[in-house]
Amino acid sequence: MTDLPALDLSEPFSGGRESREPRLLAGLHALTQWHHGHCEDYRHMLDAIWPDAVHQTPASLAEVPFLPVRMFKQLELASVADSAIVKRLTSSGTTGQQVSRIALDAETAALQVKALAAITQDVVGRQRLPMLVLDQQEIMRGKGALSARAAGILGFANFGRYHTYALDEHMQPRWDAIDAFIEAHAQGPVLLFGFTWVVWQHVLQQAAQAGRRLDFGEKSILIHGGGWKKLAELQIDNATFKQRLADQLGIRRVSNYYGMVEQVGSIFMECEAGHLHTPAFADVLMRDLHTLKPAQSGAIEVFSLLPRSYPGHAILTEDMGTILGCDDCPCGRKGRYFHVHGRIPQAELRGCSDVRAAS
Amino acid sequence: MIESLLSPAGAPVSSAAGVPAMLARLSAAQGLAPFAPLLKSFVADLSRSVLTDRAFREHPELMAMAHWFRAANLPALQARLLGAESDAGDLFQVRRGVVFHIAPSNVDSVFIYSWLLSLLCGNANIARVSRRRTAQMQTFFAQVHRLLQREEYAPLAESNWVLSYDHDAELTAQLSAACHLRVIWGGDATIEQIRRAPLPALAGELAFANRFSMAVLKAEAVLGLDSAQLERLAQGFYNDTFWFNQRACSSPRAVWWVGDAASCEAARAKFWPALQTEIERHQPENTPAQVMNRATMLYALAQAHPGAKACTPIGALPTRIEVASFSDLDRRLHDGQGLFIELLRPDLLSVMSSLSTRDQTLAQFGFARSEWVSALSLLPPHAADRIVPVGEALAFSSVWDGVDLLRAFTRVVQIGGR
Repeated sequence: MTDLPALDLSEPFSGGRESREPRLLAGLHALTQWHHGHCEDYRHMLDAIWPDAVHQTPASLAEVPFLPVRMFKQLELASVADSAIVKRLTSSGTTGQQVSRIALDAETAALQVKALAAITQDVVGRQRLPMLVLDQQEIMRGKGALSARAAGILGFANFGRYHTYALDEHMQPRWDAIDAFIEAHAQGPVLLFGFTWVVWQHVLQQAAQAGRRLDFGEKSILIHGGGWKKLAELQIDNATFKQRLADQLGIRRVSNYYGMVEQVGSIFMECEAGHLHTPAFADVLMRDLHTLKPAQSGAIEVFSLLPRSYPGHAILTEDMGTILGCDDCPCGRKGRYFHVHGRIPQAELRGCSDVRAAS
Repeated sequence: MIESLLSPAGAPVSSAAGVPAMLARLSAAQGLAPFAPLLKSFVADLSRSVLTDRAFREHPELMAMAHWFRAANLPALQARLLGAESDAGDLFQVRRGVVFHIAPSNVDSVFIYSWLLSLLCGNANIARVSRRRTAQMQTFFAQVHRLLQREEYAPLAESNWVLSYDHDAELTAQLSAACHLRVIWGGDATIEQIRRAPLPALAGELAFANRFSMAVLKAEAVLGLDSAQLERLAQGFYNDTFWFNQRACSSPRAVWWVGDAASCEAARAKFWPALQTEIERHQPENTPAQVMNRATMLYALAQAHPGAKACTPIGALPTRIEVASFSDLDRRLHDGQGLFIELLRPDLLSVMSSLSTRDQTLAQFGFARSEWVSALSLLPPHAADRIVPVGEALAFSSVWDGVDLLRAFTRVVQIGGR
């Protein structure tokens, strides 16, 4: 256990900026000090690059020292003893790519569960709903570190009951199981969950090819995340995606979220107005793509009060976004809301002379 | 898929099926003696056409290449290879045969040196270039193609094949099997990959591995510069480092300041703003991806060096970090793109002892030639192949990485009895 104070995760969207910012800054500073004291690698980086940060409470988010997201690929950073680590998460990098490795202790893992619950219940309500997972059950059976996809399914499974997996081990739709799920539950509220690309490729496209039109009912809601990279290549935007889901699968409400394995739990959920929202225990800042100074649009920096077992409370991602507003979204939620544009083009330039795949 | 940028007339090979016939044609191509008049006139013509083509004005590295191969410089090159040869002697340089060049994708002009030197030596050439080649390379090949259309250069058109293909171990093996010398300019990983394709027993290989280069600046000398001299130094340094986004193996990535602590401090305060002026003048490419890479590299170096000190904001161009010692990890972590690792040392000897096998070019300023000569014995094995003035780090030489390319591209025939 860390000796950091308890964290109040309730009512993540009720307090406005004046009430949340001081608490957020104080909490982030406490985490900076904690990690500086307990993670040697983090200390070396901070002492070289942010020499004053550990002594001074930040006056703004921009003054909170961050790590570039790729540091979690290059190093396994932990601020707790090895024996305290209960779970290791990895990002879902494709073959050959380096993956992030995130060390969780019981305390941080528990905070992630609670935070995700607070955010998700704001969308789906407190009741556990019949849940269709748009993925294969086999992905949960991997050994060792938990992949981001498996961790995501595991996290959201807490909000459902009567879990049904929509895909078989070959990523083909199990139409019988899907039909049975609709038959049994679609007259009431149902929750669907999946990764954006999997939903598109293995559910929507397959349904279209098989000429199947489904109807998950008036109270159906799909939560999906994992990034738009592949859909962006196909020039499929959020509106098109939603329309196709409504037409082909009869899913009434669709909520995308922006999140990453480096900050599991504090995700940014899309509201009815189509905006991504920051909960009270997290925030975002855009940094100009050339100067890295705070800006309206730029590289997305994400903040979260959850990471205690690893120094991931302020991370500069390689995604681009724009701040849309604060406290005044038409959906009524307080806090900052924003839009994600996608990846910085070719952010991972490869090494020196070996730029070309050889032979 | 194979893309042929240059190939013998009427034989553009686009699939594997055409490869054996093409290789047979290259092997049968009539060879020429090193520095035969036809070869020299082709290289001189090519040089002239690049130097006078406006399309290349924006690309100083290609202008420098063309200048290096100008007609006036060819006799010196020839003398370097054939100077000692005479009818009375018993050793004669002749071509190797078919040379297979594998070009790097980051510093494409290096390949042109390799290819043209081999051509000057009378060889037939197969050159694999990157698919991700730059626009200026495309223009360059178009230029070469036009020149090769001329009747007089038909023998050269017949003996040079420049192609591009994606990962294809089988094709690499086919090309390797047909060559007498293989030249790999790709770096460690490429060398490892290419070496999986065997060579004929009598073929040779030149492999240019990843190298690391540094600048060594004498603080006192920098302090003694007037503003015009300072500007010249900064210009030279800019060219050394920014022409290839600091990713050429001879571009300095670390900077050693030599002198007492106070003069090093003062020299740095004088030098870096002058470089900044050059950067602002030339506006080198600085994409968001490069900013991110520099930011990440800064953190990686800080993690590896307890006690390090970032000297610039995160992501800045250039980014600088001062460290106390230098290791192979730094050489691996550094990925170019405008980041300098700074080290302070009281004298040259303590710089020399920190060098390693990987180190290729030392771009120096302020030291006398004799200081280097007397320090040579302190060099670790294979460290530092070139010690050149700042501004000449990228200058090509027919001796590269310690290899005399003209000799490598030829063989020696002994004629006994008289």
